[in-house]
Amino acid sequence: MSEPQVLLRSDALHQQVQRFVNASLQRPPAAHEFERLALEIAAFQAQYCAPVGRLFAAHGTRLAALALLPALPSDVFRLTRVAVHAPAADTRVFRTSGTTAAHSGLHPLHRLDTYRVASVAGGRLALLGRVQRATVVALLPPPADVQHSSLAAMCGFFMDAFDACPLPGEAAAGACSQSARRWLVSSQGIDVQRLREAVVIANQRSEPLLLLSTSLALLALLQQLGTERLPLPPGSVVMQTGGSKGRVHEVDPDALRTQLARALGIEPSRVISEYGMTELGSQMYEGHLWHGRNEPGLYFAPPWLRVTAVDPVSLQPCAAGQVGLARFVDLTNVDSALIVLSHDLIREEDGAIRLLGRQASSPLRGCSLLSEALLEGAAQ
Amino acid sequence: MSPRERVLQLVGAARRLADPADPLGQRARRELASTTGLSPQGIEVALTQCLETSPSEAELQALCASVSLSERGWVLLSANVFTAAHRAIALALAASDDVRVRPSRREPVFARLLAEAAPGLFAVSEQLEPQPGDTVWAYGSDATLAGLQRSLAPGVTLKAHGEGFGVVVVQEQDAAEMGWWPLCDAIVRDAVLFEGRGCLSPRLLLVNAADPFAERLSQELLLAFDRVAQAIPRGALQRDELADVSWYRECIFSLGEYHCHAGGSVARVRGNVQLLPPPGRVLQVCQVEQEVNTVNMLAPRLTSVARVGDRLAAALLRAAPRARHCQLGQMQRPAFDGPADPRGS
Repeated sequence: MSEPQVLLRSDALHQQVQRFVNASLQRPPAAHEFERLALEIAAFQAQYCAPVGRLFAAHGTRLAALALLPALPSDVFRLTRVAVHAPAADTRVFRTSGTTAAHSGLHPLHRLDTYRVASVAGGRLALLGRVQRATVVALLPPPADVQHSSLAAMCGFFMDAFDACPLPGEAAAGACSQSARRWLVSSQGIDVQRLREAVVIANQRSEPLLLLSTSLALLALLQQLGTERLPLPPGSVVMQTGGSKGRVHEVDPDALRTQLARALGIEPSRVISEYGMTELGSQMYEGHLWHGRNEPGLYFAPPWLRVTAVDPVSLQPCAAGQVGLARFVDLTNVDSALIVLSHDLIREEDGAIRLLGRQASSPLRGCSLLSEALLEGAAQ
Repeated sequence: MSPRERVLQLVGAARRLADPADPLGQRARRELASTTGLSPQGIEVALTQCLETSPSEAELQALCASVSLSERGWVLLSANVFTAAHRAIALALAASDDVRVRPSRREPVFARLLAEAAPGLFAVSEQLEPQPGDTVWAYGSDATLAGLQRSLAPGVTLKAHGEGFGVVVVQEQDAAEMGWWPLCDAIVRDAVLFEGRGCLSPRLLLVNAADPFAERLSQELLLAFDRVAQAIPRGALQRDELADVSWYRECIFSLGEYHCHAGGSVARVRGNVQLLPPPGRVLQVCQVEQEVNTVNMLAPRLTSVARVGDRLAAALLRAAPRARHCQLGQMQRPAFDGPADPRGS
């Protein structure tokens, strides 16, 4: 198949996935519908995405059942190009950040619209609940400054999809994400004044505020606010994402949630954590608004994403209740790897996913001390 | 006692542990089996061939000269290479007559036996309490060592040895000159010691050669792993190490070739030197265009560079001047002249 034909095939699969996403908002999809589409995408990637093809060949994989297909380790995204198409056909290339890996991983996309459709659908379910509209701002740098950030792209989609009205000085609704007024992080820190203005506007509109942020930016916001209280409008939600792995100061998510609730005058349950990876087009969220389950650290996947725990050694599915590595089957990853294995440890709990941190690598390659021994020792 | 005398006393203690007829040597063989997971033969080779029991006078002088005198020395020991405790403690003894050693929780046996064999020479401590003027010798990941550095009081000196690994440079004529068996046996003998957990353990084999040579090398290495495993059977890996092997294997499946025999595994990739094999008798053959340039690129992370003969010796030394350079088969037997990993010294 020539490159144009590959792209045509890709386009057809993207359309199927978008139809799947939209249909699953109306009714839960049957398992066989997911499986059929997933196998179709897997067959496409086995043929045209070299790393996936090699992985399948090494396992002697037959494309008969989704459960039998091997998962591509997320590290492969930083070791080689994972794409069915040539670089010339890239629309966007997202780059991993905030990890401790020595090199960034790249996720090249031929089309951005499936990422947009799926993330907006998932975000609407998890962050808006029954509300149709919200004033949306992000504690992130403007997308122009972080063109390779999948998170910034997603937040931009949320602004355009969920926010009906332009802020003062903005051209038009539907292009809210183009306005610098929505992006409240710069080299000077958090623009708290802009956040105050957004709160005033949301109150004038009688809309909730949707504040999108990383955990570290929220921590910075709290520091800048100090003792100031900045009550958000009723129904507002804070979406926090991203841990602080590899950073000097780890963020305690429970403490952050409590402090945010106090500072912003919202219930702790309205601080909703998102889980996403640059290597995935889909996200998971805590389920307070979505599933009515207010359990911090318990995440729900949308119907187009399946998450299972696999044993870190055998890579086979874990027994019920056991902790394993997260194995994602993400229908939106049409042009890269449908099935991705993460270093994140999870446990499946009654239809939801408990995130339990990251798999510790074996002591590093040589005369390494166990870090716990070092840190304990240092503390004494 | 002078620094040299203290170090010599420790070497004497190590000699007792290496001696299978000494009661302490017999205890070492018994007890290390459970704490290291190594096979009895693996422990025997480590004790009799890797533990430095007969350093030359020049080595002793160099080791003593490699440290600055310190009020008190603290040593944080690693579990990965049990014999490394000897050199680590020797360095502290060369610097101070007051040495406190915190053994690894996973492998506390060797340090305790050394202490028994040399009563009063150093203290085994569960605590780490360095004071200004003290020196701490520690080995670990860069992030962990950075954390330790931040936690130390001003005036405490940290001798930190971070992440690192060994590489082997192989040229086509090496196989012709040495023969495949001696060549691959020498490489594999370095790789199997301590089940590849050492900071000097070879992980990457850099070859500037076409597919047929790299493929033959991979196959011959697999056969060598099987041969060497007859003499030094595989030890047990920890679960986190087994998980690393699984993860690595899947990555290599996506990038190149991965072959597994009973004695060990060999991966073959083109160019890609970002991914390192895990412990557990795994070697990665990397086909590169310029082996010296690749060594230079890897130099900040390299502890050891092995080669055959002296053809590339000067160029490799220039490419990685702070690594140890040696012939094949000598990677795990560095001179007793200072830290095993000289980058931090």
